[in-house]
Amino acid sequence: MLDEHCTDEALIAYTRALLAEYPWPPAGESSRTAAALLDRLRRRRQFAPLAELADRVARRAPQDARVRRLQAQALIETGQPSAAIDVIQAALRKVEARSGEWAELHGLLGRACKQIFIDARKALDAADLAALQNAVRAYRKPWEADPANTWHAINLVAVAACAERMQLRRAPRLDYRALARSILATPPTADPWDAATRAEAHLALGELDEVEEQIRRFLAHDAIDAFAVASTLRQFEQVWELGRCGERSRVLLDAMRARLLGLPGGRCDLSVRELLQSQQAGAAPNARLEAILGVDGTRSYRWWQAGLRSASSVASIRAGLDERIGTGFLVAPAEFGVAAEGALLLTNFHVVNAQGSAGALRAEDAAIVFEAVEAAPHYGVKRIVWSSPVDRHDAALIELDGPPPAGLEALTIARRLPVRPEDGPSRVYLIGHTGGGGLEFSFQDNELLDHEGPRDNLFGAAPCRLHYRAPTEKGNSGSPVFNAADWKVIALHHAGGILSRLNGKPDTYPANEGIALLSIISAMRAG
Amino acid sequence: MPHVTFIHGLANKPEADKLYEIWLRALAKGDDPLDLRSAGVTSRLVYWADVLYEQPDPDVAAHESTAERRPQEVDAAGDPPPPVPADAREKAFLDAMRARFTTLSDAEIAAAVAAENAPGGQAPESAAAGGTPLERIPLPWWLKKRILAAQLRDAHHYLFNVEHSPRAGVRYRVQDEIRRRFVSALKAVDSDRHVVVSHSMGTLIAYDCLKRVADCPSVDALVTLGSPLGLDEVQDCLEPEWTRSDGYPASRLQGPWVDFFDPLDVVCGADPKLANDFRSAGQARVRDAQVANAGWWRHSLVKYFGQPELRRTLRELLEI
Repeated sequence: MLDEHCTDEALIAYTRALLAEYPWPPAGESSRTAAALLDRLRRRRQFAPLAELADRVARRAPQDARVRRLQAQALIETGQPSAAIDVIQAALRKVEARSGEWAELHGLLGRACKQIFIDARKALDAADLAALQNAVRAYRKPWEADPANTWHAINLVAVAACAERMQLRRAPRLDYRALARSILATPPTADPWDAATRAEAHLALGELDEVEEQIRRFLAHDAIDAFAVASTLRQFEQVWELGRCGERSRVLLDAMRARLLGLPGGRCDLSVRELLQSQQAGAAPNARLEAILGVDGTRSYRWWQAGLRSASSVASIRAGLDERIGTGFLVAPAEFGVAAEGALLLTNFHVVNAQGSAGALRAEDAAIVFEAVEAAPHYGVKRIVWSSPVDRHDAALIELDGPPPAGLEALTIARRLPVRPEDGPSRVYLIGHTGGGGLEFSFQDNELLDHEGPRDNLFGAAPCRLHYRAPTEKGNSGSPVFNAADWKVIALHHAGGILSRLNGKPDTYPANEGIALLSIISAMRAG
Repeated sequence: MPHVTFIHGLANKPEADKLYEIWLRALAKGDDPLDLRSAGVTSRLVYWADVLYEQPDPDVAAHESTAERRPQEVDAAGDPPPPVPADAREKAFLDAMRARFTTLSDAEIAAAVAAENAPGGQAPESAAAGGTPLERIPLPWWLKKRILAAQLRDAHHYLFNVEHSPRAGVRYRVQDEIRRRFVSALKAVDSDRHVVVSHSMGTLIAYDCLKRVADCPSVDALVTLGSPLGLDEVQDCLEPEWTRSDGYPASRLQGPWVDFFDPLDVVCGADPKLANDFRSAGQARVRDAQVANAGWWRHSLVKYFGQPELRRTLRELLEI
C-alpha cells in the first residue's frame, strides 16, 4: 500500500495499475486495496479515477453502500448529479434506515439535488424547483432522525436561506434561523468541519464577526484538505452567494481560495467579475486583514493577491471575436532582447503562427483580449517577432498592434527552475482560460514531475521541457507556468497527455508539458 | 545548481525527513519567503540526533512551534542523563559550561522545580533574579533544567568523542560518527555554489569539520546561527587547530562566514561575536550580524530563519 503522504502522481499511478489488473481475484488483496483506496482519492479530490475505481469495486460488491456513496460523490464532483441520484437511491434501498450510512447517503442525495437547483438558479423551471424540495427532504430526514447530524442541519439552513433570498414561492417551510441557533448551541469539537458549520450558522444569523472568526479557525486547522476547503468555498460562493455581500465577505472567499490553492490538488476558477472584485478587495490594509485572517492567513492571502495580479497580464487568444483558441501572456521586450513599440505576448506556435500551420490561427485572424481589464481593446497581431515550431519550443513571440492596457505589467521570469523531484517535491501553478463557454480564469496547483533544466543553469538553444501533473483543459495552450514561491514564470505550457518520461527514464505517464522560458530566451538570442 | 547543507543543533529532534521539512518551511514562511526548492536550490539536512538519542521525538509539530511551553519548543527535548566526566579536563569543561548557564546547584534547581510543582507554585524569586542568562529568562525551571541537560551532555559527548550507545545494539564514537556524516554529505554535493547553514551545536560540528578534518571538502560559504563557538571552553577543545589569530577555516571555506546572533540567545549570548576569535592570518573575516528574535527563547531555529537579514544574506550567498 502507498505511503499516506505519497504524491498525487503516485496515488493516481497506483490506481491506474490497480485498474489495469482488473478483473481482480474474488475476495483477494486487490479488491481490498481498491476499496481502501477510495477514501484517499476522495480526500485528494481525484474524482475521475475515484469514479472509475468505485465502479469496478461496486461490480464485485454491489451491496456495499460506502462504495456506492463514494461513487455518487465522484459523479457529483464531475458534473453528473442526476446520475449520482440514481446510484444513491439504489444504495438507500439496501441500507438500514437511520444507520450512519443511511444518513450519509441522504446527505449526498441532498447535495446532488442542491447542485441541480444551484446550476439552474438563473433560469429555474419546475424540475429545478422540485430539486430544491428534494434537497430539503433529503437533508431533513437525517436531521430529524438525529439532531447531532449537523452536516445535514446546516445544509438545510443554507438551502432554506437561499430560497428565502430568491423569494421563491415554494420556499421550504422552515425557521432556519432557529435551526442555526440550535447548531451553535451544540458543544464545539476539534473537527475542522465544526468551524465551517459554525461559520455558516453565524452567516444565517447575519453575524459577520463570528463568521470571520470561524473561517479563520477553519483555515488554520492542521487537518483540512483540498476537499474540505473546496466544499466549503463552493457552499459560500454558490449557496450563500458571499461574493455579492460586500468587500468584507469577498476577503473571506479569497482567503479560502488562497488556502485551497496552497493545498495539494487545489484549483480555483474565477469569472472575470470575481477576479476584478478580488483584486479590488485586495487593497485592504494589512492590519484589517490580520484582524480577519490572522498573520498566516494574511500572508497566504497576499500570495493569492499576487497571483491575481499576474492573471491580469494573461490574455485569451480568439478566432475573431468568438471562440477562444488559447492563452498568451505579456513579457518584457528587454528579456528577449527585442525592441518593440507594442506590447509583447508569448504564446504557442500551435495557437498562432504566420501560416496558420499545425492547426493554429494565422496571425491576421487572431484577436487578443486581456479579459481581466475592463473595456480593454481587442488587439491584433502587428508582427510575429520570433517563432519556433511545435516539435521545438512551440512558441510564438508576438508584437501586438498597440501598447499594453494601462496598469498591466509584463510577467516576471524566474532566473532558475525549481529543483527536480529527486531533490524534493515542488509545485507549479498555471493561469489560463479553460475551455467552455464562460470567461473563466483557472488557477491550478500542479505537482512538478520532472524537468530537463541544466544543473549549471546554463540554458542552450535546445528546448528544455518540464512535466507537471494537472487536469489542464483545452484553451490552456500558451498559459504561463509559475513557480510556487512568488509567481515568477518558469515555462510556457504547450501540451498534455500520455507522455514519455524525461531524462531518459523509461515508461510513459499522464502529464502536461511546458517549455522552460529560459530555453526559449536562449534559443531566440542564439538566432 | 546552488546547494545548501543544513546541520541541526543540540537536543533530540523529530525524524530526519520531518525535521528537514520543518527547516524548509521555516525559511519559506513570512512576508519575504525563501522557498529553496522553488528557487532551484537543492539542499540536504545532516541529521545526527539519532547518534545521541534513542528514538526520534514523535511530537513533530512542537519543533515547529515557538510557543515556549514544551521542551521541544526550547531546544530541550530528549531528557539526556547528566554526562559523567572521564577525567579532570572533562570535569573542568562541564563545570565551566554549567557555570555559563546557571549559578544554582543541582539541589537548588531541584528545589525550584519542586516549588513550581507545588499547588499554585512558582519558582522562588531568588532562582530567577540576577545571575546567568538562563536564570534571567522567565521560563519555568522544569524547562530550564532540560535545556541545561541537553546542552551539557550533547556538547560534552561530541567534543570529547565519547563512546555512546543510544539504543540496544548500536554504539558510536560520537564525534567520529557525526564528523563522518557531515563530511560524507559535503562530499556528495555536486554544486558550483555550496553554502553550509548551521544552527547551535551544528555550528560547532561544521566548524570542527571544516577546520580540523583533513578530508573535509571545501564549501563556498558558512552561515552560523546562535553559535556557542564564542565560548572559551569550546574554543579550548578545538585546539591546536584553532587559534585566535588564525582560527578561520580558510583552507576549506572559500568565501564568507556570516554569523547571526541574538545577544539574548542563551547559547551564544555569553560571547556572541565570532570575528575576534576566528581571525584569518590575524585579520577579522567573520561578519557578525546581530538580530532580535521574538519571545523569551531566542535560540529557536525557526526564529532565526524568520529574520529578513538572514534570508537576504542567504540569497546573496547562493547568488539567487
